[in-house]
Amino acid sequence: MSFEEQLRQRLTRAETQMPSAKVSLQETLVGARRGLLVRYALSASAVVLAIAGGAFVANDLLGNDPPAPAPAESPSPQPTPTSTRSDSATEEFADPSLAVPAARAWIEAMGAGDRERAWDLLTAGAKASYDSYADFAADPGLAEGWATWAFAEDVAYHHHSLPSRGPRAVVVVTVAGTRQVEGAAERGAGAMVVHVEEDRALVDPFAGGGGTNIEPVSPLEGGDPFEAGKPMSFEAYVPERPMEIYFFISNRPGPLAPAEMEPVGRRVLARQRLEDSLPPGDYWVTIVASLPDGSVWTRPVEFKVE
Amino acid sequence: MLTRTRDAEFKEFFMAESAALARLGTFLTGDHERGADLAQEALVRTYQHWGRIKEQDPAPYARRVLVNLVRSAHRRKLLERRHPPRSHAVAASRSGDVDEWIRVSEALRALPPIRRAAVVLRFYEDMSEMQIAETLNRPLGTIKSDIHRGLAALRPLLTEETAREAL
Repeated sequence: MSFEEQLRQRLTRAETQMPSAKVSLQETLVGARRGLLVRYALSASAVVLAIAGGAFVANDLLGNDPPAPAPAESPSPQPTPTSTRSDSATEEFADPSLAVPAARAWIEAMGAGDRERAWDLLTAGAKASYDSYADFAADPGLAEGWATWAFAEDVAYHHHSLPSRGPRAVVVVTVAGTRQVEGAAERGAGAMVVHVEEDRALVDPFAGGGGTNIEPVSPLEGGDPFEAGKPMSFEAYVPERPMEIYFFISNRPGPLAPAEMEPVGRRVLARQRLEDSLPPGDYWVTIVASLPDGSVWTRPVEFKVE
Repeated sequence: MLTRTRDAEFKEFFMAESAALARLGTFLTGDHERGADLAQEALVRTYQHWGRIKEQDPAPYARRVLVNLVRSAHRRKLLERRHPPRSHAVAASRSGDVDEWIRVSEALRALPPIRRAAVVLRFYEDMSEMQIAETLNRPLGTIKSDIHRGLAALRPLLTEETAREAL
């Protein structure tokens, strides 16, 4: 019997011996309604801001629910294939422009099946997520994940620097394009963190895993387009308090300040307003949360301006 | 009127899924009280998003929220403060028939939360890799990696403990 089949049987046996765990419907409903009241109050605040600045879309009022999380990589139109740079206004000692070549080199090594080269380009933290090089080399998921970006079409790389912490630059690189997934063309984006120190750049493609904890809020979530020529606002929930949250936008040069943060229950609502507007087109916003433990969560989300 | 409709729909979902979510939470945390707490929080959030997700299958959404809560709790260690971890040895002494639960939950605790979730959803809930990818909102390749690496980590743990039992 295979280990997989043994595990399946053991989990089933374990379930029969598991201590009873029950959930109360009454308590669930009470907690849920209390939470909704808070959200409606926040939505009302957003409406006031919208009246003042013409910027907000508050569509979760009075019967319309807050949005559910969207897929991290959704099939959608593609941004223009250019590489842009938008650095935060902080002092940097390492050259963040090394980040995109490093990300590209890692993806190309993965696409070529050169796991040794790919391993050499990983940060120590990324390596630590594997027990050994052999474990990394034998990982079948990478061939169907990051490696597929090596053969993607209309690929665009965007990079954005986080505030410098000492001599090391921490850069988030977003790669967007159309790739083959399970035999079908799929448009999407992925984000990785690149550490640049002196003249060496190393990648952590696994840092984005925590990005699934980031929940974009309407209009990002609902796919509604922004209106060209008007100020824009982006929002997202993060389940624990980060040090900073950024909304990095593809093809938008210039520095961006950290997003405003507002505690909502046990989560944090991050909000980024743009005083200027973007011309009509398809864009990616890469939401980046920098956590106190030094980890970085990233999540790219597509949006449209009409 | 809207609330009554929402409550009726949600109650049906709750009756069908709450026990399974609590068991999943227990597998993911190794503690039935924590599992139930997190399952309840996941159901609260499911209710709050009900209008948007009810047209789809709300079950994957609730599971995704549950897994994210486990990951956040693991990071913050908040639950350890709310419910100090119980000694499995004590639990075992109360019942002579909980060995397999203790062994399996101890082995699962060796995995990072997201990898633990992928393994439990694959081999306990019998989801396909694609369903897990959709549920956890992660690329399919990443899920395959999580399962591969989760199995690699579990194999020596469960095999060694089985070998010790045989002695």
